Amino acid sequence: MAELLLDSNIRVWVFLPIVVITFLIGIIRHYVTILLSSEKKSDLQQVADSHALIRSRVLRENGKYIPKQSYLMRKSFFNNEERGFFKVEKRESQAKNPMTDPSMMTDMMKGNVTNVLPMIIIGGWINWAFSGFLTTKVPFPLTLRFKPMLQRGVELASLDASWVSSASWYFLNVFGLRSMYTLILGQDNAADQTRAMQDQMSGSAMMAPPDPMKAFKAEWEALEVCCHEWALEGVEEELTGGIVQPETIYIKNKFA
Amino acid sequence: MAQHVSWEEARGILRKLREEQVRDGDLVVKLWEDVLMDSSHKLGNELWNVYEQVCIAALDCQKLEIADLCIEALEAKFPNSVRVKRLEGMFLESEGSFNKAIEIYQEITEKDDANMFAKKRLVAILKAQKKIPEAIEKLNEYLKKFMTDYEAWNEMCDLYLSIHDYANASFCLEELLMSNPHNHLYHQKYADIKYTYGGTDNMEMARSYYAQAVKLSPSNMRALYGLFLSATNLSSSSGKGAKERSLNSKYAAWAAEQIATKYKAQQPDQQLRDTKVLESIEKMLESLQVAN
Repeated sequence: MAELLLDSNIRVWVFLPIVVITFLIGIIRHYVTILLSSEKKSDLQQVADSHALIRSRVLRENGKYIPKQSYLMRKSFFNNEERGFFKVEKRESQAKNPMTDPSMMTDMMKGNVTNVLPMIIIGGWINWAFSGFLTTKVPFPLTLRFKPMLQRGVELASLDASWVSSASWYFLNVFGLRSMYTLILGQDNAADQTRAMQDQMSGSAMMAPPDPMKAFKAEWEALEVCCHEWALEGVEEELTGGIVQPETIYIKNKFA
Repeated sequence: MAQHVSWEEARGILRKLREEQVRDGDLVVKLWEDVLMDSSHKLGNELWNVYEQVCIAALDCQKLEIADLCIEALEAKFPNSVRVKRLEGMFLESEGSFNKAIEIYQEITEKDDANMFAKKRLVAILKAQKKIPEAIEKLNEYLKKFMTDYEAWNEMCDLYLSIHDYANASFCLEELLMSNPHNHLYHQKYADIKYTYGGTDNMEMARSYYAQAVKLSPSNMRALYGLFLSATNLSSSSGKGAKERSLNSKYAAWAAEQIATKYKAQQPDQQLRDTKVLESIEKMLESLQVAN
């Protein structure tokens, strides 16, 4: 197939503008997010609950390092039938409907305003303004599978897959400028769209805080079946019973 | 400190200290005064973090004028920040005006109920005022909410130790043990407490934990001595069977041997003769064998 020759005007009026536009929009997004972001306040009750859950988990995992009596004391603190923490503490279900909680609504809206809306608008605009151009060519051969990815908007069956269309060039920029942003705006900047997209895909942006009662119940069960086996049983025997200490094995001839 | 630390190096050191939360006030203040202060504008946005760091360091070294400058700069930049408020509170604390500091911290906790920092400072003030029982009460309240704050458990343990409440201190240390069961110092401290508490059961517990500490870190001399002493104590205590006693004297002999080898490896002969460590250990061992 004969080599295509691109008009140099495409470079000046399509290729470079797309780079510049996506870059600048990233920067603007960063500052808009900073402006709109509201500080998340943690609720004391929620914090305390999560601390209790972690402590119970630690007790299950490392309880064997403390004497049996101490272990039972703690277990009873959490699991006692009448007075145990997991039995007594009652929490309201936290699984609120996001529509009824105005603060959650505004949070969601802010997220949408800074992430999704520009994505759609700019993407649409780029598609409209710069559609139908081939902008560049990747310097290596690619299989046909890459065609829908790299040649969005230019559906030519006979075209070599290493040509990149303008719309695809925009998407490449959206994802590829990430390291530029970290360089200019520093770590953890808000310009990075990929993270926002990941959030949306995994649904964590929408996820309501987990129900503490359920977590308590699960932890109660886990702790209930957990039993204590002292890890230090016979440690003196092990220590003095002729087992060579690592120090003497490895550093024996250190100064010899 | 080295005479010439370049600007970049100084910045790097401060960054590292910040990340690892090392509290070396002297070094930080020195770096700030000698290297960074004159060209602080070059730090960019990092400057504010550095201000905070330097401020706390300066308070640690009682260089109040530096701390004051930092707070002023931060105050001008972030007028309503809780983090700046807490620095102000710490400044007042170091001046000794505790009541004003308490006011500031209470203001913070009213605004943000889950602010761990302000609550801990309130405990620290009580401790500084030598109101240990009140501090313990307050810290108890705090730990009821923040059960996995191991720094606080550690502090609690020390507070209990300072009023000789060994039962409660050992409870606090058990939390620490569970938080990091591979830290030999926790094991050693727990054994120390049990040893001090006294009684045969506690002494056995102390022996086990000393042994665990030695197992985790064979060069822990204090734990070796602890093992030696607790085993000696148990082997001479009445009410135990002959088998138990002989086992204990075996442990004691093992610990004594370890201690002796460590000393021989570390100290020159002259020093060994002067300090008479080996002889005293030998003597204790002999008395042990006589007793059996």
